[in-house]
Amino acid sequence: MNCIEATGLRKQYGKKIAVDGIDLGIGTGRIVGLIGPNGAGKTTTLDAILGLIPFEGSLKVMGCDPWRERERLMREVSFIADVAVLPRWLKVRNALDYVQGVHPRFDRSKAERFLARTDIPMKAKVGQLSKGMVAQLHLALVMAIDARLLVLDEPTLGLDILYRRAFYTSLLNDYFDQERTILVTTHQVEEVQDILTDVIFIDHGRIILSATMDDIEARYVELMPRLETVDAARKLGPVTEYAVFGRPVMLFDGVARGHLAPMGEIRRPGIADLFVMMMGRDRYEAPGEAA
Amino acid sequence: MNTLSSKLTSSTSARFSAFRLIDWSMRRELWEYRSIIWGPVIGLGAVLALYLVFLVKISWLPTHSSHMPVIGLEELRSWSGIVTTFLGLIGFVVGLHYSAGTLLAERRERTLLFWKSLPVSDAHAVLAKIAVSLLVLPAIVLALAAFHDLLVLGVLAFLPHDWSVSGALAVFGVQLGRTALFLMVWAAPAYAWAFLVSGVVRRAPTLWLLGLPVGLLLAEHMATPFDWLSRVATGYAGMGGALISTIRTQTCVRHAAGLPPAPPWGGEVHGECVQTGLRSGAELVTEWGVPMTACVVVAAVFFTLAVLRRRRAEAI
Repeated sequence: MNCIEATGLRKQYGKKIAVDGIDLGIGTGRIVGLIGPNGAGKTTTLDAILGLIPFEGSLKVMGCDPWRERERLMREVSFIADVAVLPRWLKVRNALDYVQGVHPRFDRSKAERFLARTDIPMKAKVGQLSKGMVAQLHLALVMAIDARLLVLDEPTLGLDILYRRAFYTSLLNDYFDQERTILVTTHQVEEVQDILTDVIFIDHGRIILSATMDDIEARYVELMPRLETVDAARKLGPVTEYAVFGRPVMLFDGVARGHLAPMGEIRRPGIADLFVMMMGRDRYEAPGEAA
Repeated sequence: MNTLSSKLTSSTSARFSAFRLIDWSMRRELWEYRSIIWGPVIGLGAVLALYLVFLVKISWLPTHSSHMPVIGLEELRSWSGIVTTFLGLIGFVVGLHYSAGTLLAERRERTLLFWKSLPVSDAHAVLAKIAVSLLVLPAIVLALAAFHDLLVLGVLAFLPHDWSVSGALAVFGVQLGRTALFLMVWAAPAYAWAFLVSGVVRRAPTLWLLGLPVGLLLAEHMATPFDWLSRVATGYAGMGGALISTIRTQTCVRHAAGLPPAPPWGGEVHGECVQTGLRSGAELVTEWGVPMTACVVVAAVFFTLAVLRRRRAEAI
């Protein structure tokens, strides 16, 4: 059973079509990256999955219709929709009290053990914590909930590198297992690409690519040819070519590694490079950390 | 496959009662909106501070104890009435402020995305907010007013007076009952309208809260020959004023005052007063039964719209 199953999912705001009939099937035990530029429809898709907005088409999450059964769904699904959505006036202790009060699957001792490893004092109000600490607190709350699906929408935006690294490390080591599924969107693709099992590229409300990391590795190869093999490599028809420190780098789709290896250095392409290639270079001359 | 689906069924069956969800949601409202508790407490504190100033002042009078006038039930009533009215009005202002802010604040501070990530339905979340404004806040105001009444009664019982304690308690009871109607029934449509405004607008809720009704009244007055809206508005304001001011309890007091002085702990004054109190309660129902039902219906409609609105609410 797929934990998310969508057919023809569509959402329109006035005349603007935010999500234009997408099909999704996300299985249990996957870590899926939903990747796309701003305004591509990522957040709208997540909002529909989380029961925050009504939608057209068919969508089942953990077997529920998210819009009609949000309360039931939220017993199975956790989400961090944004950094800094914890109320500033809330005391850390009261945050634990409240989630314990309303969530049947919250394990308070687990959250407390996690918080004990941080510098977050139980007496502090959220407003007194640094942005990184707020993210840690939210993660502590979410990880202590025994949910089947965790949805993260830009969970580390604006955090410094140490917190970002620690965030994903905790998530992998202390939370993820074969019965859980994680769906994550982020602009900092480089940081998550090593933990993802699947990627979905989305643009203009449509899915451009949906593949497992294994598929991608089998299909795409990045080659940095030696100077004398550049022309020979070009003849093999790279899907795109760019320069790194003045040296050409080529991306091949479905060309056997055995052909390419003798021409230079071959690597697994980065998700970001693949993304840029698929979305068209002209739009992304300077890819980087968008706001 | 089998184990997974059986796991899912067993896990979905684990759920908390609506009462528990609303209870915790109310607690977090009170963590956030301290003014629900502190507003009325500070109001009473100001009254008590005035007493203290007054006590210090009269303690300078040389012969205050020998010339003490007898305090009549009417004085007691009007004094307690003024303070009860004052606390009731504070309660209304605090409640209106809360109702106009709560649904907007959670969207603007984006905390909505946290509340909605937990298994609390929108109906439960809004019901908790309604319970805070229509149950918790009136309970606090009434408890403080009762505390004040008992304090005054306790002090005055030791001074010369011509009324029985039970008679005075009956007077207080009528006053508190009217204040309860004011804060729980009369205020309900105002709060409900404030909830709806708070759930819809992106900024300046107070402007919409007052501006739209006032604008409609002006439009009716200037552009139409009707006075339907202004009659409703006048009636509503008059009803609130009559409930919160304590003029009506005077009937009871006059009856009581017409009787000869009774022994301090009970007697005819008590019986007469309670009867009159009940009669004025019955009068209330006949006189205001229809408007009060209208209040409840209008409030229910606006509150329901506010729940529907919160389902679709997005962080702004």
